Amino acid sequence: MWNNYLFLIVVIPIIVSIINLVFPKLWKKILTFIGVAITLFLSIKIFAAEALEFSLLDVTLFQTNSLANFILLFINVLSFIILIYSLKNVKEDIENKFFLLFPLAVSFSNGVALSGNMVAFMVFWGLTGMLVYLFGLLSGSKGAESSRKAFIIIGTSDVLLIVGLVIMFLSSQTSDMYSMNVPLSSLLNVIAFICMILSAFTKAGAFPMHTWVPDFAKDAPVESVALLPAAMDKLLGIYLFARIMIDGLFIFPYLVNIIIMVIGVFTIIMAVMMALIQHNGRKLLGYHAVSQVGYMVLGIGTGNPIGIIGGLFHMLNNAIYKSNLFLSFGSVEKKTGTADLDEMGGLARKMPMTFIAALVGALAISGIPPLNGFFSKWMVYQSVLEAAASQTHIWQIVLNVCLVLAVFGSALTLASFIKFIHSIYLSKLPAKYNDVTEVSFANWFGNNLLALMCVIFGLAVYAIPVKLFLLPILPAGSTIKNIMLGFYEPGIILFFFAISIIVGVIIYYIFKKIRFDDEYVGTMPTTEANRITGVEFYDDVKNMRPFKSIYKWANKKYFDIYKYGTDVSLWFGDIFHKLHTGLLHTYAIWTLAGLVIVTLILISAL
Amino acid sequence: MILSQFIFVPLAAAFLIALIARKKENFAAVICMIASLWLFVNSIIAFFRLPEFGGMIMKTTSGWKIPFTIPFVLDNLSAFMLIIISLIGVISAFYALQYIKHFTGKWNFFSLFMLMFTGMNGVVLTGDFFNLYVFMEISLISAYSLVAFGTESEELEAAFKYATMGAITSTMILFGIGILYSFTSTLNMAQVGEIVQQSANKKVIFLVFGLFITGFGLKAALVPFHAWLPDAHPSAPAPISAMLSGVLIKTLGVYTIVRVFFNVFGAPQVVLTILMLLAVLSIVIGGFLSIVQWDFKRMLGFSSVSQIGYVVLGFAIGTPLGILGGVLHLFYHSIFKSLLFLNSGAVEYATGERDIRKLGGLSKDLPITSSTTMVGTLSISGIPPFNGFFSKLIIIIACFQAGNPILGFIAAAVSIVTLAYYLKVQKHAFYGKKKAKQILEKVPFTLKAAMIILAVLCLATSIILIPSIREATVQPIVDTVVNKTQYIDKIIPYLGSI
Repeated sequence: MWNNYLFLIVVIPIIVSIINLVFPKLWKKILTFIGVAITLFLSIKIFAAEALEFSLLDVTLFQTNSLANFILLFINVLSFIILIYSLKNVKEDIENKFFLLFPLAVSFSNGVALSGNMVAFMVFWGLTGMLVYLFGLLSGSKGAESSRKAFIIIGTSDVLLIVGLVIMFLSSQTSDMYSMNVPLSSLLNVIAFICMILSAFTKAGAFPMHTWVPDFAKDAPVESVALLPAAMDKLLGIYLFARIMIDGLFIFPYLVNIIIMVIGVFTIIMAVMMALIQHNGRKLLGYHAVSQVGYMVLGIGTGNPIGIIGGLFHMLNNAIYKSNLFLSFGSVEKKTGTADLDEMGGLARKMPMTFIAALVGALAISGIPPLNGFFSKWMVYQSVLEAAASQTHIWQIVLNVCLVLAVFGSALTLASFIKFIHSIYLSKLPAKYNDVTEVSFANWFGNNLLALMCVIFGLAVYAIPVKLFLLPILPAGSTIKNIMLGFYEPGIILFFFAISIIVGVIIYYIFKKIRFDDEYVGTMPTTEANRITGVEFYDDVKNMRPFKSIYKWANKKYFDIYKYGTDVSLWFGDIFHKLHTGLLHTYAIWTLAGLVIVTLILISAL
Repeated sequence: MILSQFIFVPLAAAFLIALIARKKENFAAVICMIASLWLFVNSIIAFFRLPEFGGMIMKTTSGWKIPFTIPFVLDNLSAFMLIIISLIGVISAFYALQYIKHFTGKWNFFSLFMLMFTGMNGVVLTGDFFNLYVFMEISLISAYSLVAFGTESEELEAAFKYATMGAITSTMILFGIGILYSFTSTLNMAQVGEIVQQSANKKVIFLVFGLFITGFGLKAALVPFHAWLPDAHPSAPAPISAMLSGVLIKTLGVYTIVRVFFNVFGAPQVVLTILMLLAVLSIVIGGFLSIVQWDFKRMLGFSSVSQIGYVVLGFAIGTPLGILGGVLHLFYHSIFKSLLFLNSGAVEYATGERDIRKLGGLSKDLPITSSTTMVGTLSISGIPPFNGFFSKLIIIIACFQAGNPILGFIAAAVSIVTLAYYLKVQKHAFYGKKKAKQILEKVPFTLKAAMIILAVLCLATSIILIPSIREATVQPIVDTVVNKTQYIDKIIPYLGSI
């Protein structure tokens, strides 16, 4: 038991967390750091090994395959980097609890990735959901409502998972998730399939179960947002989704794929449109966290090899740059004390390292080559093309529309991040931030490690991510050449970028004719009060014809499944409540009526 | 093994308290603690020594023969109930040591508490219908007076309602017993069961079924017989609420239903169907009612209605897996619901307030109450790895396995509702914006200790699910229920031998 890597990688962080209960603060940090470093080491060991197993009491609890290995590795890599960031500047009053929960988050996420047994999977899945709630509560009264909402929606996902797995268990007569395969032949199995998909969507944050992500992102401690909804929950949710779609848990017709792809595209567009108009930086990032899930769903939904690895690669990329963006925004927020984009501006000079990280993240998420986000999106687009090519006319049109919308979504992402970068880092610096300085080393270093990963995974895309992590997931013998449609070489793109920059620099030095000037509004130079923050860049969209009413509906939470759930339960509750008048004779009549009905049923059975 | 100790020890304690401790109130607490500890230890010993006696111990009081005396029967199911009663009893009594100082007439409290204990132990042990009725009344009457213990108008009203409803259904039960007696000429459960099995014309028995389902259903607070509970349970002092919701409704309601319908009447399908119906109604209506409550304890009361529905649903499915789920949920619910009632008591003790809208930000002021409430919340909502997750999971699997997917969906869906209303408490009372109300008093030691013990149990009792432990502990209980009328077959030879 104690020499099994799979067991250790789950148990060590738990032990760390238990010891942390009694240790003083500094030791907590050191111990957590050591613990997570060990799990990182173990995850590399596991990744390098062939399929491993861990059994307890004659039940195979943990199992690995190439997909699980891949997810496991990046759970630990990302949590290690986020931990580096969190070593400094976690809010003083929550630090103690934060370092209790952090190792648990690592352990439970590892547990989900490794679980082959269905009960173990449910347990770890539920535990990771519980951590979202506990992390959210660290913000105290500020996070109380959003973490409740998050936990209720995530709790729903747990229940859906339970129902799905129970039906699958009874249908396939095995509790081993690696050997389940359920045909969608009966209504019950179809329900199980829908439950499982929705459960995965909830965790990852795809439509229609996404609404907890932006709210949670707004209120919870930023380190935990970067860790859970931005990184772990994406990895785990998409992991389950991928298991459903490609590991043969179910057997289903291609129409299901198309429906899922449409949901994916809808998620992309809907969330990015919401992100465009946000004034709160965290909420903006939260909506992008939802929007990006759409690409993963779209890619994996195609079911073809390029789409699967494209979707998984996008999941990985998104986890990297989204936690990067959250952390960089967290640094800014710590220094300025606000998450409101209207209040910020011109921080690039004050916080250069954070700016670099944020810029790389923003470019990567917008899909600018040669960064990693471009390549994964590119793979997803190709997979949609390929899927469309194999379909009949009507579906071809649908899929091509999907493709166009997905590309359009990427453009909107870029637009949204131009606003994001401009309003935080580039516009005029408000006087109150004159004393702002760069965050501490641990913060910007951790942050830039993530940025560096974006660059490396973009430039060395064939040599590192594709070769090491993605191809092993596909059946043996697959090469990137025979699944890719076009030609793409990040080196060449980098070369062109470099050339254009060099040419620009040369032109600059030759002519040196640059006019520095103030911003003007009307004919007057802008003042601090009416400076251009950039937040209003897309306010016109809000007033455009179809969007105006859609945004209005969104503000009224018409697209929020949580609102409907609450309304329906309260409605039922009120009805039943009104029946309870508190009058004794009413209750006595109920009892007698109950007796009569029960007796009637009994007599009818005679 | 002296079976009658489970009855005479608490009974003697009750009278001893009334006699001696009137003058010295501290004696009352000491006697009560000693008696409940004694019962706890002995119930555990009894449970684990049962296999030595072939899974069943039978004793008659005095040396007389059957129609003139009462048999006590201890099998796995009753031993299991004894453990639950005395476990929650000892913890509640310990909690009450300091909690009760807000009330006058401490000794009354402990005396009634012991009397309630006596009644419940009697119900669990007896092998005789009329005796069952008597013990049930003993515990109910002490419960009525304990509900009214605070003597505020609201509490008196609740106790009155409880007493009236209780009396109506006790009459039904008594009437049912009367019919049985006229039909079989005996009150002994095993003999009744045997005669009913052999008789050709069973029509009259169905009337008895109806009366019993209504009667015991009200004690168990199944919808539509539940209306007294949300008034009665919140009105009692917190340790009593914990006993009522944690144990009393299970002993007088669920246990009797299981014993009478499974072991005596052999679980006829129509009864199971009716129970299933009532259980689902309870789950759904109790769940939705809880979500609109603002009074912490009242919400817990409605939640008990919903959760008892899960327990009965498990039994009503009737498959071994369903019964396992029912047994486990019965045990687990007694732990986490008692914990939550004790939590609500601690909050009320510290702030004098039960309305969660008027509370807020308590997580900082009452860290232990807050964290143990969190454990209770997570357990009852079925979040792994807390015990409630496993019992609910088993019940859900059992529903699907028995070919009742709709029941499974309902059971699963209401657990989201459960999560929602407990998170409402968390949000408003413990993590919401701090309200002006100040902490009036610190939560004293025994309250904290009791809550911590139960919170630990919420997690620790999950290990029952490990196959080898399950085989040794829960499986015999499940077998007792699954094997239905084997209970009769075991007792009849004994009755003949004396």
